[in-house]
Amino acid sequence: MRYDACIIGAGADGLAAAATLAARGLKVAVVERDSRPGGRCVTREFHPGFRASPYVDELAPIPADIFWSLDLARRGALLAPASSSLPQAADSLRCPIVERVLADAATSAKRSLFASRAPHAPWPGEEFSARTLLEVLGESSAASTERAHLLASVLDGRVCDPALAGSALQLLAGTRGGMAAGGLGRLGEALRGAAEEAGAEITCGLEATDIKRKARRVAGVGLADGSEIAARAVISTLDLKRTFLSLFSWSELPRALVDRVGAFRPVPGTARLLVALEAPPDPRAGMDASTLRGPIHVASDAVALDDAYRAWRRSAVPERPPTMLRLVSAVDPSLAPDGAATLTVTLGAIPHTPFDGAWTHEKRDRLRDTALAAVETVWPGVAKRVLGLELIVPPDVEHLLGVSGGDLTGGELAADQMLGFRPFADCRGSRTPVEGLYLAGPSSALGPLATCAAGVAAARAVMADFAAGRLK
Amino acid sequence: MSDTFDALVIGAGPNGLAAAAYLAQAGLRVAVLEAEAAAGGGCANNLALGDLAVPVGAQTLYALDPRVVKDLKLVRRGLKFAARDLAQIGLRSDGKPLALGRDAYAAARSIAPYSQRDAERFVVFRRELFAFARVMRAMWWEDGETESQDELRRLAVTGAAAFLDAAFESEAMKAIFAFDAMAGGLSPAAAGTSLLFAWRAAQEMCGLQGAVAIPRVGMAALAEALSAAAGAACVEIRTNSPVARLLLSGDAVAGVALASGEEIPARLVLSNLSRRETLLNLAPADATGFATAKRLGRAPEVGEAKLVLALKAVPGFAAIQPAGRFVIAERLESCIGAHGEARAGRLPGELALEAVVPTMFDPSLAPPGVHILSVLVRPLPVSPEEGWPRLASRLIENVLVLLERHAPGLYANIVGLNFVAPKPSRDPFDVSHMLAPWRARISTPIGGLFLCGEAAEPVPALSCCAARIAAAIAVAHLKGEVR
Repeated sequence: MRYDACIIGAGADGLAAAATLAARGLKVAVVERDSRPGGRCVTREFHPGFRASPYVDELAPIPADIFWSLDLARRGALLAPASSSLPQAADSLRCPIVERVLADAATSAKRSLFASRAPHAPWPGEEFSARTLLEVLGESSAASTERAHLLASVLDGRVCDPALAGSALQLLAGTRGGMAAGGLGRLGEALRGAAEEAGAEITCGLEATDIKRKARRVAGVGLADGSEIAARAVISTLDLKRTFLSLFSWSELPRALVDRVGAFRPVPGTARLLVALEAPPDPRAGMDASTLRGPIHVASDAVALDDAYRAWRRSAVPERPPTMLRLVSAVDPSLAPDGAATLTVTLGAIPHTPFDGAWTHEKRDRLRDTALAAVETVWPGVAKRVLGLELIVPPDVEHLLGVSGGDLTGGELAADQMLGFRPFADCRGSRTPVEGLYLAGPSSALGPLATCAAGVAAARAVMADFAAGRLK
Repeated sequence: MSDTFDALVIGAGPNGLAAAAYLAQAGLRVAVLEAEAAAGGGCANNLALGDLAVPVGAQTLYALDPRVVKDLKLVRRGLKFAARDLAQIGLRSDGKPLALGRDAYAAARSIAPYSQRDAERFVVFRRELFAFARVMRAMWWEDGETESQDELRRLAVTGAAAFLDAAFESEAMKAIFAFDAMAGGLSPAAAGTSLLFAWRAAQEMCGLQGAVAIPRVGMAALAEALSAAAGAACVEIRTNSPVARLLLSGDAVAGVALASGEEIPARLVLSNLSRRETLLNLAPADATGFATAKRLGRAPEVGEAKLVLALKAVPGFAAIQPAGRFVIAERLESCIGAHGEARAGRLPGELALEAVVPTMFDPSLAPPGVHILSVLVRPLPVSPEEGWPRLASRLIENVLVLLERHAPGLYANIVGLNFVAPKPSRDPFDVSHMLAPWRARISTPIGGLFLCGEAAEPVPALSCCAARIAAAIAVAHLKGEVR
């Protein structure tokens, strides 16, 4: 049984790619290492009766045409409106970039697969790669506390030095898509429904171990149980490093490609604390219902942000990490039992592995206390209402979700790893130097900018190459 | 004094003298106006060091434009080199010094104890960088359009830190290059700083690509050769003539007014000062738009300082072969951290520095038995919270402790010491300078007013390339007006 396309990873990108291809009548198989599809779009019970999306609360936006063509609304994926208010400059840039990548994926089949696809025309938004975040934000706000707050909401738990050239690109990746009603798991279910209804076969609980090649062209995917899925095209939604460094034996690939992939830099830096509360925190003066629906950035100033960043660079856990609170059950009451509340705490600038060794119970407890202390400053007395907790540090994300370094962005959002240079200049967008292998997922050009779009771009590239007779 | 001039050059530093010589060679009557008592600017020996005097400015030459040397016959006018090709020597606290000279195999042998892979990579790294830099020369050497290259576009967004991380695995190799990546007060982590390596590799000194040289009789020899060239072209050099302001007619320059009150009319003015000094201090307030003035008002945050020592004995590390410039930078990461601290107005905990001992190559610079050690320290806050006079003593102490660690006994041999704090008058530098066309760096909003100094170079360094091109642009401007 030979498939037209095999997709590695059943996250948002993988499922969107599967649905797009299967809807065109292609035979599609999806393999997922976790026991259920969804990737980061999952919601699970972390304490009896309390549910939360463990990795992120909010996703990057799904482009409207993709949202409607996959018919996600009918399948129950309802997005709560984006809750934070930020300068809108980035939003008006993000759409042209997404469209450009999608268009590129469909048209560049005319060119040779192995031709260098180095960027020629500048990409929309490329002027941000020479600018600093402070400079861009400074134009809209002068007060330094206000600016620190803006900075925290742009970075959303990611780490960067906002005074360095290129940091303005962080604006493009701000996660502003809104929360899915019912948790992100509902979105994952909707995407799975779209893929399965279109005819894609999804295999869960089985890890892809290698990409098989015959005569230098992709022939299929080898699985952990020794079986093999034969396919004419493979779309990997893993990050760049996992795709090339763990699905191939290095000697098969050109040395320069291995070096280039090896030099791609993930930036782990986010920890999450899921908190089950027996009762919602008492309202405070100045906090109405609409404030509770949005993220609350624990009062930080520029100095604290700077200290945290420098601690992170030394692989130390900062004393005052940038902290974002979200009372997710205020947006979506189904996440907590009646009368109780679910709170997520996102901590930024957390090193993957502290300089003094791996995360131990003591270090985790200390980080948990740091997070709860930050919550206390917003809602005094909350600590007494805690019923249960779960802390997720970067190595947990790496282990659970299978992303290099536990970096959900799929690689640092630096100027040399963004837009036309993502994942790198001569292999950008969906096609890769390996014939028949396509890259979607977080490390592709669209990864940090939009949800589902990278998968759809890869699917369009596959369809274009089928139409051009390149995939046999 | 009733002479009329076609062009005036503000500042008789090397760049001003070179620009004046070029203008005069083109047939203009030129005067150079210098505030100090002697010409030479940063190359003149006017920093006291015990009984000696040393220059305030650059301690090595690595970007002097070879066309200027040729056109102005600087070699015949006394510019000889005591050292043509200084090796780059990394002093390490974790092992033997790293000596990167022109001999790639010797360099690879010195890298091998740190990383066998880096030793092999270095040879390829340098070849590729030099080959790319040769292609890029057109952009940095001549005024004109250059087609955009893929590699250029890639380097223009790549930070030096990412570039070095991809190229090398050992801290020793990354750190030795990190010092050069902090030129102009940039952080090695900032996007585009890897272009600094390409720019540096594109320069030619004494016929060698990417070489570092020290002139015989010191930097003053360069100033004297340029003075002689200007003099031979009938340039009038007026010392003790500080310029107070520019005279404008409409939105074009009409001359300058000296502090003495004297007004000198001219249709061309070339300024050797920074863009900020020229437009904010000398031009009338309404000559530049509000937005430009606001942008110019921003002082650079991070800079470099110079510390010069006179020693009774040559420092211990001077025995390392091949002879070179000594770089002390322990880790790439600490350079990035230090830049952050400097930006916040604090003295970085870990410093990076480059030291040269010019008397190793030219003993005539000092009396017998005395050696000069010239140290460039980066990155440092330009306007620290506590002010430079107070910070300087702490910085000097930290630098001496660091030097003592690498050259035991150095402290006891000091017979003279002087210090030059970072200059706040400099223009803030960023990567876009390296990519901007020459014309954008040289011209100003005021017609007939051009920049010819360090401010107009792609990277702040002593090069005289801007002077040559500014003179050509100014002459074309004048002719265009006549026609």
